[in-house]
Amino acid sequence: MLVRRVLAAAAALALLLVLAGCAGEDSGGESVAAAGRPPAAGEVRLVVSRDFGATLLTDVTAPVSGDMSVMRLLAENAAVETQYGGGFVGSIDGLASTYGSVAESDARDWFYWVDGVMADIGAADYDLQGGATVWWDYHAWARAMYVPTALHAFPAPWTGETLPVMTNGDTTALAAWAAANRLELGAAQPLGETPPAAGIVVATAAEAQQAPWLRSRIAGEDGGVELVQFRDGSIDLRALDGTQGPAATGVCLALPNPDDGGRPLLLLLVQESGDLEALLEAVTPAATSAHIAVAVAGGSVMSLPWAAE
Amino acid sequence: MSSAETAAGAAPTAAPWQRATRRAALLRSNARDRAGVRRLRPGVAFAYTLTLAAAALVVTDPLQAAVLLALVVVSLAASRVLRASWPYIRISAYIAAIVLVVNPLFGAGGLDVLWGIDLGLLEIRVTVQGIVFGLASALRLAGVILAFALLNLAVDPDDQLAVMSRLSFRSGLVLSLASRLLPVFSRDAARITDAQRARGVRLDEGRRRDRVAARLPLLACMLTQSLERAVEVAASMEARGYGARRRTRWIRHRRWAIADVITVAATLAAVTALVAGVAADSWSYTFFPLLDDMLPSLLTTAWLVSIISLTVPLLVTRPWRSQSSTG
Repeated sequence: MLVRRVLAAAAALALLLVLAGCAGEDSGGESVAAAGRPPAAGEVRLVVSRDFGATLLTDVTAPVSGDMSVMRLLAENAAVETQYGGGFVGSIDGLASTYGSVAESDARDWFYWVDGVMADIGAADYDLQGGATVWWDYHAWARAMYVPTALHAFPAPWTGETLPVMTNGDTTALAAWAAANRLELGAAQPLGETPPAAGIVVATAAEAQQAPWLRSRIAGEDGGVELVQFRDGSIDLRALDGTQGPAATGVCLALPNPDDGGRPLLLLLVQESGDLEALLEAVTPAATSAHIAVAVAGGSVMSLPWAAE
Repeated sequence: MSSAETAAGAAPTAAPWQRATRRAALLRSNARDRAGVRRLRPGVAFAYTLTLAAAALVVTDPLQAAVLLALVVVSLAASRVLRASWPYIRISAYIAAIVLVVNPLFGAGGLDVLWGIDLGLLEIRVTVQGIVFGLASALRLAGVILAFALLNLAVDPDDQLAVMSRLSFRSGLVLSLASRLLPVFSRDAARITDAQRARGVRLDEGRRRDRVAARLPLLACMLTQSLERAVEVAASMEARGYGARRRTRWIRHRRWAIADVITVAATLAAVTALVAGVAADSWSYTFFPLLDDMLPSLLTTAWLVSIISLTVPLLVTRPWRSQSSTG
């Protein structure tokens, strides 16, 4: 009788060890530092930062497995604590959500995007495909709770399809830049009254102000936040609290697409058409990594949203 | 004349020296029975077993919980109360089984899904992480219950009261009475069911429902008995002058043995390590969404100091020595 009980206890402990061993197996390989490199087809990339990429906490690529979810990728590469039944990330590497514990205007939390689009389902339910880039950022809820699109995974999500180009200018420099970034450009059409279904939009400040649909999207009226403002014909950077920043000669934004949330528009907005080359030089995978958008102001590249030092 | 009648008749006529000899033999027998934690001073055993319970409560790593549970079981065996602790083991096994079943069903935070079903409003997902969490919770719960079982079985209730009375007499009294509740109830139940059987009540026949129905009158008896006992205890306390004047104390002086001193030092070390571990967040093991590696937590300083300190009393009380040699 006693022997049977001892054996039962030993079996329970063995089961515990086996289960722990099974669960302890990672999804197929070691993660390596990505350092801004876009992932290969058999990889997924994880970027963790705070304050819209101002502080980079993690940037790794990992081999993708059959059941790789955003939560698994995160949990295998960072210390994660979950809430509300396990589907909600409460803390990453000790940096915890403050929602509910401080005033709502001061609350900070974790938000995530996959290939340029903010996710609308829980991290445990979001299955990843090879080549995806996941960006987790810890920032304030106030005025930035919903930022539907971001440049963080550039050139994703614009790769893998022919992109219509909407521009009134010359596309020679654009074509060279697109080829360097694995983007396939389609036919060019002039900036019109109606927005394109997808693709790249190149506009000067004056042209953008003339197109109501573009002006409203830049102003965040179709979702998202207003990162730039037009003032006396110039493009002024704008902080989330409404503070006016410096004037920019060029801005690259991922504009929300109300007709197809998974296909944002890539906007290259310049002060003058001659500023396009400088902006194109600034829009690279490394420069846009862990950022919503980038701008060229005063000859230097800066990430958006602009924040006073 | 039966032997019982002989004994009953002989007792009043026994010479005082015979009674003294019998009492001395009984005391020697009790002393020989003392092993493991029971060899320690009541206050020391009290502190040690409470530290064991606290450790079982604090740790979250499943392997740490398993090691602590094993230590508690070994302490029960070393104190020669393992057989007596069987009711506690059974209760903790039942509760642990419930925890083990319920937790995996409703702890859906794990990522390694073994089985799932969507019931509309409720989605049940049995995950590896949920099962391990349930196992760890069951182990911790069993560890805490059995540590208190060790306290109850290894430290005489009167000694427990004496220890507690130094801190708070009334609380000690309440705790002591409460800790006796379960054994007193089970004795009462056994006595009443025996009486019912003797009067021809068929308690063990029929289907389960019939057996339960036959036992229902027992509840009324138990309630009446417990109320009567409460009145008797109150009357007895009043008759002894409880609360009438300043309380009197009866102290049994007992020498400090080497084992007591070492156990106190080891318990203090264990408490310090447990508190330091809490401050350093050493006891937090992550189950969800993925299990932490279990082995590294077995090598932390807080754990090593705690488990070694809690094992020392087992060694210094020399439970492996035979009863005859410990007398």
